[in-house]
Amino acid sequence: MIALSHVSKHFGEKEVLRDFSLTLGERGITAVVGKNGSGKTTLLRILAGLEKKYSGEVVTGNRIAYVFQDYRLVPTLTALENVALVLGKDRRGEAVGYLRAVGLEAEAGSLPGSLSGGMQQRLALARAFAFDGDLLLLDEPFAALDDEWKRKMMDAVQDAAQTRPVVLVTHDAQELAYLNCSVVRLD
Amino acid sequence: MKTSTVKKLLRFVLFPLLWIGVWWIVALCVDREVLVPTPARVAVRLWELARTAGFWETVAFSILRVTAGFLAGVLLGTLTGILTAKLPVSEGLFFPLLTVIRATPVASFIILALVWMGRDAIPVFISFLMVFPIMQSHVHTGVRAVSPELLEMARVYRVPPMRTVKALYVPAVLPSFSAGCRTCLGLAWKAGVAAEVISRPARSIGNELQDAKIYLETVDVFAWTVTVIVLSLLIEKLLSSLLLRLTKGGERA
Repeated sequence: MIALSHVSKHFGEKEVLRDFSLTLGERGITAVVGKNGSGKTTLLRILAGLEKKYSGEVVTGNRIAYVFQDYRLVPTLTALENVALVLGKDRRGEAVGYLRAVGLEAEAGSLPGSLSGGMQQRLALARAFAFDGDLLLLDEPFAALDDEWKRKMMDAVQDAAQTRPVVLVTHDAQELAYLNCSVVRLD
Repeated sequence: MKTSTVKKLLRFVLFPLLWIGVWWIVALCVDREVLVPTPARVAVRLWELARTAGFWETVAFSILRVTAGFLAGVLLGTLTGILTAKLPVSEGLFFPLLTVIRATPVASFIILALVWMGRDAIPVFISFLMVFPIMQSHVHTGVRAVSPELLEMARVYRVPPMRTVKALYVPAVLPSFSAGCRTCLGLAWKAGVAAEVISRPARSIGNELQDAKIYLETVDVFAWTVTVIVLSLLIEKLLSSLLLRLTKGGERA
């Protein structure tokens, strides 16, 4: 079970999380909403094990897939290689299938820098789906997508949430309305 | 004729010929071979030297010494650069040593090396000293240039260490590594030959230069200097093509 219990986090004088508790089910989407600077990304980073200094207790996943707000694609690797990077040697052949699922099969040989913002975001999603973690963290993962791809990717996230917990940071009311999710508010 | 062909013709043929012409005019004005021989006289002497086995043996041994020092400097400089970039305490540890090496005149090192080691080893040691701090600095900068955000991504996705090195570190380090190698090669040659001139190991270009100077054979000094310049250009060209292949390979890692 993935859970945060009485977690507080400061950056210098600024307190971004205060006595925050959350328990995730074995599957389903938990949407985290709140204004800028309310600690949404910090919460994801704590769950990903990227923040070490905080108070409280955290039990998180073993294999965590994370779609970062800034994508974090390797600029010198092609789209296909970016996906294959997170796959084990025995599964690297599957990378093209994940690109196909996000409509990027034709861009398999392209470097991230030559892709549009929306394509880069889909590539980051493909990498997260390929990793097949037991926890999926998504930081505004549909922000750069057009309506058609936003729906498709939300459906894909909904599918992924059938087998693992998903934590989604969003500012978009339409996404909340479309997705079957519970909502946590950070102030 | 294409503009690029004209530019190449100017850069590699016409402009060098222009400067050889200037050299010729200066030689004719001075009119004393012991001070400035003409390019034709130097070319004839170079041809005479090149027809002897001793010339090629001398060239081969000098290349061997400089290359050994250069490679040792590249290897140790690279390892130290990685260490100082990844382990902050080692940066402080190596700082005094690197500062001393950078600040000490090369002649001081050559004189000390004359006390410490055999003649054959001195050019190797001096070339190494020229290369080591520069490679350390370039590799250090390259390793520090790796994006911390991408390293976080690799950590979250549990990318194995060797794959992280290949995908993130190699492409970030290669440009500064290549630039360091290019800078160092010229320095290694100049310092290595200077060390040969002073330490005078057998079968060395520096020894030949020193002999020519002692016997006032200025034509020979010019011929051997031209040899050093040609060798330096050839080796730099070879290194550049090697580094280009390495860089392309690194980008595609």
